[in-house]
Amino acid sequence: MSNNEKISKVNDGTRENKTSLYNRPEKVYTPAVDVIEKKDGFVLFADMPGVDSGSVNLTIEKDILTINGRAGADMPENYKPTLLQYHPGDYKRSFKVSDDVDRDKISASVANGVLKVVLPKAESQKARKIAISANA
Amino acid sequence: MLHRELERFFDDWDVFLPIPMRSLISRDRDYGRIDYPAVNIWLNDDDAVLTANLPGLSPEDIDVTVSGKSLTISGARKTDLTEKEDTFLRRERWSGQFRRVFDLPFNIEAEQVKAEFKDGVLKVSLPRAEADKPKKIKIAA
Repeated sequence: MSNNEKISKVNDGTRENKTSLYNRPEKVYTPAVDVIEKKDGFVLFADMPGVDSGSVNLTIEKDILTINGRAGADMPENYKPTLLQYHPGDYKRSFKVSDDVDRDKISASVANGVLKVVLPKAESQKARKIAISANA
Repeated sequence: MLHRELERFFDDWDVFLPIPMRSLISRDRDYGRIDYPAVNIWLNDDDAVLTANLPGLSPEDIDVTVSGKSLTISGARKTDLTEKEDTFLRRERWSGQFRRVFDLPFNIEAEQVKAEFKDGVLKVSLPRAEADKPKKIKIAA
């Protein structure tokens, strides 16, 4: 990571210039999330404007799920910033995943800057409906 | 919700003031708070670029209108569809209606305005009206 930074600075210095246009170093943002529990699993939505499926990373280590993304905020050249309410940076947030989630079946997708993670419940944890047979 | 409605009411109060008394760029800049959506505006002598973070919306949910010097972005963000037995364990994402008005320092060439929407980010290019650009006057000898 730190190597890459150096290389890009040596090459053309664009990154450095762009950062200074915003007059502050790049930040790490905590995305707003909704977590919904459904009958057969959990669904997590995270607002990450500017990211696409190529710039999001999802990792699970033990019971910690981490979402990570980078928004390449558009910085037009030859313009003067006049109103700046958001800045380029990384999105990062971690969640503790309970035991009833089937880790191998976690899936994720990105649409319109929103990350959606589906965490299905393990088969054994799903509430089972037991049919009662009537003997009459 | 009511709080937001009130804020929105005060957002537009200065439309009744004579133009020189309005704030230059954003009518809500004076209040020092972050409105929804977060917006960046870039200017040069010939045009302006506005970008807005609107995650979860699609182009059909957003209205962009231009008139004279002002640009309005408005729309609504719906909540994700849920079924009756679903429970929200966490609910932080914003939903509702939004409307923001910006006054640029020049008249906008309405026909040439371009808006694109990608990965939850709206980008509007606003060229300055030809008639509005400064003209160099030749001084007769």
